[in-house]
Amino acid sequence: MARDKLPLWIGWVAFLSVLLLVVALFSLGVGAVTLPWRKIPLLLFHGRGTPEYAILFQVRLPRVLLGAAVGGALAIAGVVLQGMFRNPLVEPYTLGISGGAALGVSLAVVLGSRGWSPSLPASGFLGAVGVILLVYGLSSKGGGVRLGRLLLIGVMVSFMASSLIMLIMAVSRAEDLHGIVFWIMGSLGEPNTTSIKAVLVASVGGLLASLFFAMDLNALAFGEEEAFYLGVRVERVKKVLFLLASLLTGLCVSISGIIGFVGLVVPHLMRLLVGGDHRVLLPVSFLSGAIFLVLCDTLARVIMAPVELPVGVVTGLVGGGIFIYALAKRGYTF
Amino acid sequence: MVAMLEVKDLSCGYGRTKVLEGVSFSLRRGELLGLIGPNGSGKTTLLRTISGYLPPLQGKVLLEGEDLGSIAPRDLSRKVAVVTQAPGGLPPFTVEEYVLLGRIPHWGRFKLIEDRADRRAAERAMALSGVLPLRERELRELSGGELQLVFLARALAQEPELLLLDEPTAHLDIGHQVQIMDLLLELRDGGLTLLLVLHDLNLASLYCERLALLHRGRLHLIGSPWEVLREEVIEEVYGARVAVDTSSHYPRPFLLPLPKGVRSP
Repeated sequence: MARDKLPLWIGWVAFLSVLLLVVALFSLGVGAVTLPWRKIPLLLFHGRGTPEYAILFQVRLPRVLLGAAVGGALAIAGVVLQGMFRNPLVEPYTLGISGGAALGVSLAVVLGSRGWSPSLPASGFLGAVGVILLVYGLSSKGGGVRLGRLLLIGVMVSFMASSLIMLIMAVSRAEDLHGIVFWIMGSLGEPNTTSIKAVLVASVGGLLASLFFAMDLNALAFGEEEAFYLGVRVERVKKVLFLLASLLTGLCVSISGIIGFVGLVVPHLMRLLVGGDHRVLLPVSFLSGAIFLVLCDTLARVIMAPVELPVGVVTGLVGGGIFIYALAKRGYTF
Repeated sequence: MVAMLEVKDLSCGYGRTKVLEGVSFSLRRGELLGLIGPNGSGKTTLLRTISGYLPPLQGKVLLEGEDLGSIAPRDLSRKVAVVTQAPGGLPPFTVEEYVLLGRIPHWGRFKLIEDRADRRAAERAMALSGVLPLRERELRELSGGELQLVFLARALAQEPELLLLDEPTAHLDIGHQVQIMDLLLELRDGGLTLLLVLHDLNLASLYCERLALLHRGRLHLIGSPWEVLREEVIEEVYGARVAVDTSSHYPRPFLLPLPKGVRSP
């Protein structure tokens, strides 16, 4: 950090925090029933018993919280993985984690319609963890984890998982097929408050944990050998960061399905904005990921209301558009 | 007095491939040793083993009498700094941000922001290597010579006792070569112990009081430039015909490569 960057960093974090709050309030207000902005704080504290209170608390607030938590967590996972792999194309889903989760859910959907009904998030998480262990185990043969190998194996596992999902889809019944497709497209309409709390805690915990590795990530940006000479326990840090990023991703995917682009685009945009220092990149990406996903989800709810678009469609279109524009505007290199 | 660095019957290499074996030598505090040898003779491998990055296949490396393998990476990076030939990439960091990375060895896990002492150490390091005017510049904008000085500044910010450098003058013009080598001498006079890999034998002769020559997987010779840089040794190790000459201006051996057709003296 150059001499006077700290105030600038604090400024960015404060600005994005306020923006997140504004976007959250906006998202709470719009929908089938419009709640005026000014009434929302009042409703939150004194509106108990009214129908608006029920809409706010049981429908919209959980959704906004989940959106913020998932968006933040995916962005953190993206920053960590891109930093660790020193590869701009890596994102939380590259390593096959989403494929594993989708496979778990697909199996659960098919089994569910045959009488045995495991919970979808739990199956998704099991699938994700299975893939994490498989990819990690295969790539860490003979001591250290070789990142290039990890990446290749992750991509291969990802392809195999999608093939298996297609196989399952090909042999499943129409209503199961709909369930699988709907889940894969991603949605923040999770009714279970325990799941939402779990993602919130994991997401904020993930941010705090990753911050303690910010300097290690800065050192790793210059290569593993250089990082070792700066006293970084390279193998241990790689393991911890890989597990952190993949568990966060696995948890998000298992609850809200595959919401692409947040983990890829947000870290890049933030690098454009604040530079490559992970001490500021991590919190800023967390906040922007949260803002981005809450905003996209709000759009998904209202654009074609009463039909709700899959949020993954919106994140892909909006995120991709913004990113291409930013790339074209400024000479950005990773 | 315990040697700053002692290498005892060391074999090193990568996995099952042994590159060097039976290497033994030691370095006093405040000494500057030049490591020379043909391409592929294991200079960089030896440096990586002495720095702790590669585990020794056999033998030991002792740092002030303490086995390198028993020193935690963070403690090691406070004592030993390394300037590699080229780091694995240049992320969007300014010179000052990069030099401040040299302070991490002195931080605990829960320290995230540098304090005044870190800034002062970084400034001192930048001033020593003469890159203070470049502090706000991006690494990517710098020339090869400037970068090498910046890498050196980062290593100095670690405030090490032993500094290892892998070809610090490679690809540099003669001005930068002399600037860097003079700086290294100055650091040695300040009590720093230095081990540097050098490709340019004349530069090695001029600046190092002791040279270690690697050849065929072994430490072939170690001694003063006069003992190591002899015509028959260079012919045997490098397969090159040279004439050794000296200057009344500065009594060190100089190597003059002999083109085909020029008779040996």
